[in-house]
Amino acid sequence: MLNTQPKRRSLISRILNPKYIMVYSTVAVFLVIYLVGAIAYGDKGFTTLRTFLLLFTDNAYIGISAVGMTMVLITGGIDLSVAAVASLTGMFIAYGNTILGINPFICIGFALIVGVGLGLLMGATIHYLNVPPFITTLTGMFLARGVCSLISRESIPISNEAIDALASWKLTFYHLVDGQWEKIKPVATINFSVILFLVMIVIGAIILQKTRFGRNVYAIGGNEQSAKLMGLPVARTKVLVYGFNGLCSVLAGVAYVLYVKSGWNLALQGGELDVISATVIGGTLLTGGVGYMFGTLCGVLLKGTIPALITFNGTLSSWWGKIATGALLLLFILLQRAVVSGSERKKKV
Amino acid sequence: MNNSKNRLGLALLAVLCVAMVAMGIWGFALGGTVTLSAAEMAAPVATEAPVEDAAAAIEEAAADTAEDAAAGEELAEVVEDSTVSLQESAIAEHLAERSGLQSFAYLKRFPLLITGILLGAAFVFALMIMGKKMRVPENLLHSKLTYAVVAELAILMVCLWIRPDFFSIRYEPSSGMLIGSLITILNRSAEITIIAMGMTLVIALGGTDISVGALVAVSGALALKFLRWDIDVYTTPGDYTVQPFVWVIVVPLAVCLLMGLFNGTLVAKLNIQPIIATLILMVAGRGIAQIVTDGKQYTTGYAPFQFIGGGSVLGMPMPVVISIVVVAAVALFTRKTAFGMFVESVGVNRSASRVSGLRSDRIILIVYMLTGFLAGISGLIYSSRISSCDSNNAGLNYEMDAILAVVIGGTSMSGGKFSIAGTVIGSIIIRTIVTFVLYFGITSESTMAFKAMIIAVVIVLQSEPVRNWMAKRSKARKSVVRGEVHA
Repeated sequence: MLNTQPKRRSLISRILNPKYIMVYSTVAVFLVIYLVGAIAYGDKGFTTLRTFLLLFTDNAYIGISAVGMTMVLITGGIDLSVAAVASLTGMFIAYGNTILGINPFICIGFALIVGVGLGLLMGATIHYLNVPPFITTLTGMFLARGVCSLISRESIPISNEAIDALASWKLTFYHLVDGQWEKIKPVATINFSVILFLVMIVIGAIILQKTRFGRNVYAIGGNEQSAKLMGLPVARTKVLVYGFNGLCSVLAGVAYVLYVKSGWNLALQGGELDVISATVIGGTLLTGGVGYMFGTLCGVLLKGTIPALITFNGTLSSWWGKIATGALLLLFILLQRAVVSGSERKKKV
Repeated sequence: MNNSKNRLGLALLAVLCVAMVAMGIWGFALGGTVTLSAAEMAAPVATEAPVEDAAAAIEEAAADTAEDAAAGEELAEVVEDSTVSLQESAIAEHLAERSGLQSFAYLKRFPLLITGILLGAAFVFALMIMGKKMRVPENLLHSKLTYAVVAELAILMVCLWIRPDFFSIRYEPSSGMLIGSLITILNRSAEITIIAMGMTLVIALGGTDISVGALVAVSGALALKFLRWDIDVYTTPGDYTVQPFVWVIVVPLAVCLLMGLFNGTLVAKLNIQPIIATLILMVAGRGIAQIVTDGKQYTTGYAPFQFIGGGSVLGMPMPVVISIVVVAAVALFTRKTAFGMFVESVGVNRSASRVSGLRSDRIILIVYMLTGFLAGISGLIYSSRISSCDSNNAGLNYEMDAILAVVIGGTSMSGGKFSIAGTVIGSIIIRTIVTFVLYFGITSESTMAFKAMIIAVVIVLQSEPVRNWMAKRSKARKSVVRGEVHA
């Protein structure tokens, strides 16, 4: 019997595998920007653990959605409906709880059914009817936004004990000072959304790296035709990926509700672009086949650092953030281009 | 092949126009216009004349048309009941009548609707029998455009059914403009039509340009900046421009052209995926627009600038005229020169086109620049319409609408063949849905849900498996979808 198992390489050579180069460049740029912030605004408290954790808190909903988006982008698709579905979740919770008096967790369950259902429906349309993902999910976005507006045209506040308790629950960090556990100053905390975000990242990474389903996702992104010829369950995988993305969108909506404690039909407008650009900055290729959850995590943090820097500066207007995000995107796209053409040249040799 | 598809598109566009005119005439014959104008005449009378006269006028107006007699009776009852609140209630009743859905008069026209559908079916059937000799049905049932036109006609039929006066067109001497829902559809669809012309070529290349919405904002911001350079000194908008008017037009267009060049360079020279390449400007564009205007809302009262979006030529609103010129120019440029064929060729296979002697890169550059330029024109129209600039909301979701218009118009997103006429139809469909929703008094916020539902139906009808199934049913000779690259 032939031994097809590749030689087990050492840990260091596995970590320095060139396929992770995009993730490393994201980490490098993040470190550079963080360093710039630390030098410029270190005295204002940019380097504290609190500021660092606020990056997670402020971007948790984008991050949760980015987990599903990473998977969709790896299959070579795109999903524009994420922000609208998240907004719809907010509307369900707000309207269901505040107006109809339903338990918010039942509302969340209903939102999960609707969100995952819409995702599966879009996945099925994309696969079986051969409609481009861009158009299908765009229609899904219009539908979700329209239903949001049908529910209510005004922002509905949420005041529910369970939601309040969940939103204000915090995990505070302590450190050891002279043998005594003391709160870190300034107080550094993470809330439920951050934990949800990190858990989703881990779940996403496990699905992508350790399961057969994850391998199928990469295979479809690499070449759908070959995946089909290899006998992989292309249809099932594609539909499930969009369903999973629906799940992530709903959870992102829950995180957003915990963040703002209200439902608004125009909430998160244009949020799908934040999610997509965070994912792209994290090293996921839109052509499919390449992408890692860790990269997405770094992408979300990197994208979140820019508004933080602008806030710390205090004199720059917020729209510089948009331009900086655009510049970052350009940088990463050029970098990806260089890496891809470099590896192509290597293959030819 | 190419030619036959073009002819098909043009023929379907012509059918749509003829059908709209026919429906207009039919709507007129149904008495919708008469009812409306009579009621409108009655309403102002009620505010001036004594009560008895008003009642008589209303009754008279209602009696003119047997159909809406019920509405007239209701009005008359209102007159008898109260004399004080007459004006308010008459106007309220009038408004309810206008919004259409509240009064159930349209239910009475149900037999007429059935007649209309039967007539339409007979017309299509006759067309198919006539066309059988020319092998038209085969093409017709394979074409995405057919289903788009059918969908548009269906929407218009519903409009006709609920409110015949949806099709009425009046001439307003004071503004020198034609007024009516059909004109409104054409007028408001102008921005999307113009952008979608460029988008058609981009999509034919196998790409997408999602930065156009942001370019609309940039263009508007630049135009207003040049008009109102002195905003820090004089805050009230007057009928003047600070910089020469030529700059107001040329600079935004030039900047948008350069931004198109930027997109094109990324796509053509650096081989970056079009969605990502244009994502950069989509994200950064609105930031640039805000920096141009310093985050302020500039407004202007300069008449020549307002003419772009609000003026009219021979009764036609200026945006319609501009969009007709743009459509004609793009159609001539792509169909009367070889450029359209080059675009299709590059869209099907870029490297093969290069090997066979086409300068693929240059063609891609030109197309993206053209798209940027057209987005600039669209931005001028938009900002002229609202006489100000709005960096956050100008051109919001325009890229989505334009792409939808192109796809509904039958151009495949995988590149290759494109149809200018189809895109025009697609753009009209999108605007018809919006106008329909607004006209019938359904809350404007739910427009998106309606849009999504109708577009979903169109897309499912147009999808490959469904069209193949339909074509198989019609015993077409070829089961391969025509005009598809990868079928």
